[in-house]
Amino acid sequence: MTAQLAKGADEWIPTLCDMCYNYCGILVRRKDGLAVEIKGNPDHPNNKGKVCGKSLAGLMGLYNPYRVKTPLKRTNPEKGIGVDPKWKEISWDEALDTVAQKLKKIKAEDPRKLIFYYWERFNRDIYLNCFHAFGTPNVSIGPAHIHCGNNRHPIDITYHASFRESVDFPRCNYLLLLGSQLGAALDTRATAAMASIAEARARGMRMVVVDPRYTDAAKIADEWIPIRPGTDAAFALALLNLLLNYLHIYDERYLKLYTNAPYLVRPDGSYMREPETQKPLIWDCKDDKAKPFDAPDIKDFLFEGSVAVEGVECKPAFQLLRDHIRTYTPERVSQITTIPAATIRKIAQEIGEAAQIGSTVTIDGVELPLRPFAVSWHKGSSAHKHSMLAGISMKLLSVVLGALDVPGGVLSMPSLYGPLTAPDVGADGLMIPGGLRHASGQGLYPLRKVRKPETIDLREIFPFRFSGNAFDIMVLTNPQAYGIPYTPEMAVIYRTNVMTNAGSPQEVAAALKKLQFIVVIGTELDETAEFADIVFPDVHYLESLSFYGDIDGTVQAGGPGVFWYSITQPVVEPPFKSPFKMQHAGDLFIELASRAGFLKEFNSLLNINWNLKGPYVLDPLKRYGVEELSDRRARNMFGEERGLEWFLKHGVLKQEKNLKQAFHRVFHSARVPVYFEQFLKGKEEVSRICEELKLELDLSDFQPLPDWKPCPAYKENSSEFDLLCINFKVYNHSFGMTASNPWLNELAEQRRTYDIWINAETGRRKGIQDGSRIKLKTSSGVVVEGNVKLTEAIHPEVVGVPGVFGQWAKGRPTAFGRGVQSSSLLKRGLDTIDFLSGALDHCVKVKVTPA
Amino acid sequence: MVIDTNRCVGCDACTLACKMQNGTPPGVLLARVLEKEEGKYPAVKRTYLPVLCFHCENPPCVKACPSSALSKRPDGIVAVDKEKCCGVKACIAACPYDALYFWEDQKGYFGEDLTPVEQYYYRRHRLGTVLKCDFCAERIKQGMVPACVEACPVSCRHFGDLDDPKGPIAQLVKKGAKQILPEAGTRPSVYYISNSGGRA
Repeated sequence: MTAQLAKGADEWIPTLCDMCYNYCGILVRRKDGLAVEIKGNPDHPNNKGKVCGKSLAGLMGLYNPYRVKTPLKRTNPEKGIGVDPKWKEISWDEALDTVAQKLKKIKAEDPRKLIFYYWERFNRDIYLNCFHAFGTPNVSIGPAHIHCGNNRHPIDITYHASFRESVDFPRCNYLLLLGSQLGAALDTRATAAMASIAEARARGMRMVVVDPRYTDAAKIADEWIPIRPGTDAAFALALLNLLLNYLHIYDERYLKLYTNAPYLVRPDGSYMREPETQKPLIWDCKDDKAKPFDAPDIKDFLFEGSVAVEGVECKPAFQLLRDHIRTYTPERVSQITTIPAATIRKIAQEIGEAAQIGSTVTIDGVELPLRPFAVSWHKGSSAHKHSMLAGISMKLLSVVLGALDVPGGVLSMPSLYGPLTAPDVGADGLMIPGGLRHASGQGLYPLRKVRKPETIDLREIFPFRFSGNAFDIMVLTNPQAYGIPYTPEMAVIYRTNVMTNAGSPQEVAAALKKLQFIVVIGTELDETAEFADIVFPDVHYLESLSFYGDIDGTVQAGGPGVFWYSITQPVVEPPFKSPFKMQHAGDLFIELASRAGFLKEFNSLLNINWNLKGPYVLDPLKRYGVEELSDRRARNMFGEERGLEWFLKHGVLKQEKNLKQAFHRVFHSARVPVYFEQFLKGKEEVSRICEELKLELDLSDFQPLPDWKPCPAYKENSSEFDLLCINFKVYNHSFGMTASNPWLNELAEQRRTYDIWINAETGRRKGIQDGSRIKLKTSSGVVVEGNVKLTEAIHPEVVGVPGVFGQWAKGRPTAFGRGVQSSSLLKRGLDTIDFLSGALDHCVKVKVTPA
Repeated sequence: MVIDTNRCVGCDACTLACKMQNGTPPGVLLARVLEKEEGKYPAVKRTYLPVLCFHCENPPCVKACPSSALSKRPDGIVAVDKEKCCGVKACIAACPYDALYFWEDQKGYFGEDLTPVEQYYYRRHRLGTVLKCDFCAERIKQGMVPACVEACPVSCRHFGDLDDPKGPIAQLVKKGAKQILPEAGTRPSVYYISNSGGRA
C-alpha cells in the first residue's frame, strides 16, 4: 500500500511541507530512490503550486548526516547546559522496554505525573489520543507557546468560532497589520497570503503596517507607521474613540443584530436580566419596554443613553464602550505610542471610509454586506502583559465596522459551518463554536469552570484560554506552590526544543532537572535532547505517513473555495531500521502504548473521537499502525473508495464550500461581544481559587471593557537600561527549528538575518559601528552578544532581536553559535505573564554596549 | 526577463529554487536577492532586488575569457562550457553585476563528506571552473520557464523573448522597465519594474 521506493523510477510524489505550520502541498521528485527536488503542488488548494524558500530547503534536513539513527541512552547521570550526556547506542527493544516500564509505573501510581510536549500536526489526532488514553492532562504544545499568537486563538474562537482567521483578500480594500508580517512568507497561511496580498495590492488594496520595525510586510505596504512596542492597544482604542465618538462611523445594524452592544448593563457591570429566564435584556425604544435580547418582536434597540428598568439605571453596552474609550484621545495616545496625532486621525478616517458601511455585494444571487476592511495581528502585538485586552481592542475595530465573516473582511478559518463544526449559541446569546474540538469552549465566552490547578500549565485557572503555557516552567520548578496535587516525574518531548524557545534556558534547565526521566523523540540531538535519558530517532516529514483529516482549526482558507484533506507520504525510507513499521512517531507511541499496556484505552478512544462506524471500528485489543488507522479514518470519513490508497495517488481531496460556509455572518443569529460581562464572574472565581492557594495574581485585567496598560518594562526608569528590546520572526527560518538547515543558514548569513537591529542614530550615539559585535544586558544581569545592523528601519527606542538562535547543541553544528540567544533575555514571573491570555511579555529593557 | 520589484517580498524562493535546480555547491547563489535601504527614519524605504546573470547583449565576461569557454548563444543566453573553462576567473572580475561564481572547494554543506543529494547535484559541475546562470537552458528546451520564474510565490518575474516586439517582455520594456547600470554599456537582457508606489 505504501509508495514503492523503487530504483530506476523518476516521479513526483504529492505530500505536504512541514517546514513551518502552514502545510503547503508539495511535489517531491524521486529519482533512482533519491529525493532530489521539491516544488509547490499546483493541484493543492492551500498554496496553488507555490512555496516559500524554507519549503525548498527541505532536502537539506532529510539528508542531514547528523540525524539520530538509533535509540540512545544517557550514561552520564549529571544533567546541565553543555554537559555531555555520554550517549550509548542501545537496541530498540531495550529503549522501548525501559520507557514502557516507566510509563506502566506512572500509569499505576498517577498518570498526571507524565508530561507530553509536542509541536507537530500530522497525525496529531493519533498521538494526542494516545496520551489522553494514558490519562494525563499534561498534553500540550508546552512552554514554546509563548511564541504563538497568545491572544489570537481565544479571540478568533470568540469572534469567528474558529481557531484562526484569514482575510478575504479578493475583496478587501484596506489591510491594517499590527505586529504581523502577513504577506512576507510569515504568519498564517504564509505562502498563500503572500500570493493573495500581491494580487490584492495590484488591484489597489491599501496596506498599512504598524510595527516598531520596518518589516518585509512594511516593504510591500503603502505606509509604515513605527510604534513604541506594546502600545498597540492604545493605538487601536484611539482609532475606536475617533470612529465612535467623533467621526460617528460604525455599523449600527451589525452592532444591534450581531453583537451584545444593545444589552443593558447595570451600574455594577452585570447584565440586566429577565428574572425568570435569566436572559440579558435590551430596551425596545419603539415599544418603550425591556425585552429579552432574542425576543421575536423587537422593533428597535436602545443603543445610546440610559434607561431605568425596575428602578435600576441601565446603559446599553455600546454606550459604556463609547464612554470608556473617550480618554484615548489622539494627543494622549500619541504620547504613549509615538505615533503623531494627525496620523492617528488620518488612519481612523481611512479605515472608516474603507469599510463602506451600508454597501452590499451580490454573490451567487444572494445580497451580502460588503465591508472591505481587515485588521490583523500576530505575535508582535500579542507577546505582552495585558495581551488579551490589547487583542480585544484591535478586534473591536473590525467589530464596530461590521467587517467580520462578510465579504471583504476578516473571515473564519475554517468556517463555522465547516464539515467538522456546527454553530451554537450560548445562554446569553453569544456565539459558541460547535463541533468536536471546541465543544468545551476555549474562547472568551462562556466562562469555563474554574477549579484548583491539576495541570502544570494551570489551565484550570485560565477560564478564557486553553492554557497558561507561560507558567509551565515555574510550575515544574515548584509544583506545590501552585497547588498541583502531585509531583511531575516524566516527560515525553516530541519535536519541541523547549530548552531554546521557552524563555531563559537556565530556568528551563532547572525545571527539566526536576523530572526523573525524560524521553526525547527527534531527528537531531538538540538542546532539549541534552537533558534526555532516552532518545528515539524520528522520521523526517519526507519519510512520514499521515492522514491530515484534522481540518478543524488548521490552515483552511476562509471565504469561497474548497475544504481540503491531505496526506503526507514517505518519499524515501528513514535512515534506520525499527523492529516495528515506523512511518511516523505515531507508530512509536502506539508501540509504547502496546508495551505499557494501554492499547485498549487508546483504541477505544479513537473509536469515540473519530466516530468510527461499521467495518472501520477498531478492535480494542488489536495493535494498528499509523497506516491502517489512517486508512480506516479516511474511509470512515469519505467512503470505501477514498481510503489511504486513493490519497497516496491523488494527494489531496477537495470539497466545495457553499456561500454559507464562505461568509457565515448573516446566516445565523449568534452574537459576538463588545462587552465582557463574563470577565467579572471569571475574576471572582479565579480570585477565590487563588486565595485558597495563597497565590497572589493581579486580576485587574478581568475587566468588561479594554484598556491599554504599560508593559512591566515601562516601569523600569533606569537611564542605564534605556532601550526596549523586542523579538521578531524572520522569513527564512521557522523559530529555531530550521537553524540547522545549511541552505537556510547560508541565506541567513547572506541577508544578515542573524543581526540585531538598532536605529542608526541610536547606534551612533552609543559609539556602535554597523556590523560590529555588541552586548545586550538586562537589568537582571543577563548578557547576550550578537552582530549589529544599524538601520533607519527601526524605532529609535528599540533593539530588535531576530528569531530563536544562539543554539549550543553539538548535534546541530550548522546552528551552533549562530545568531542571538534571544530567549535568555525574557523575564518570567507573575509580573510578566498575562493572566487572561497566558502570554509572556517579550518586551525587555536593555543596555547596549560594544562587545 | 522582467522583474517587478514592487511585488517582491524577498522570500528567497527564487534563490533556493535555483540552488535546487542547478545543484550549486556552498557559497554559490546564481540567483539571489539584494536589499537596499534609502531615506531617514521614519521616512525610510527598503527595496529588494532579485539578481541573476543579466545575459548581456554586450557581455564583458565573454570578452574577458581567454579560453573561449563563455559564449553568447544565438538565443541570447550567455553560457559557459565547463570543459573549456580553465579557471582563470577573468570573467568574474569583468562582470559588473557579480553574477559569476567559481567552484573551488569540494566541501559540501556538511563538510568533507557529501550527502547523497549533494553527490547527485555536484556531479554535473566540474571543480575549478566557473558556474553561472544559463536561464535554465535545459528547462527552456523542454518548454518550461527558468526555475526562479516558476517558483516566485508573488509572480514578480516575467520570462520570454525580448526580441519579439509583440511579446509581453518587449511590451513591459516599452512601458518603462529599466536595466541596471546601463552606463556599464553591457546592455543587460534583464529589466526591472520599480517605483510605482508598491503596485504592479
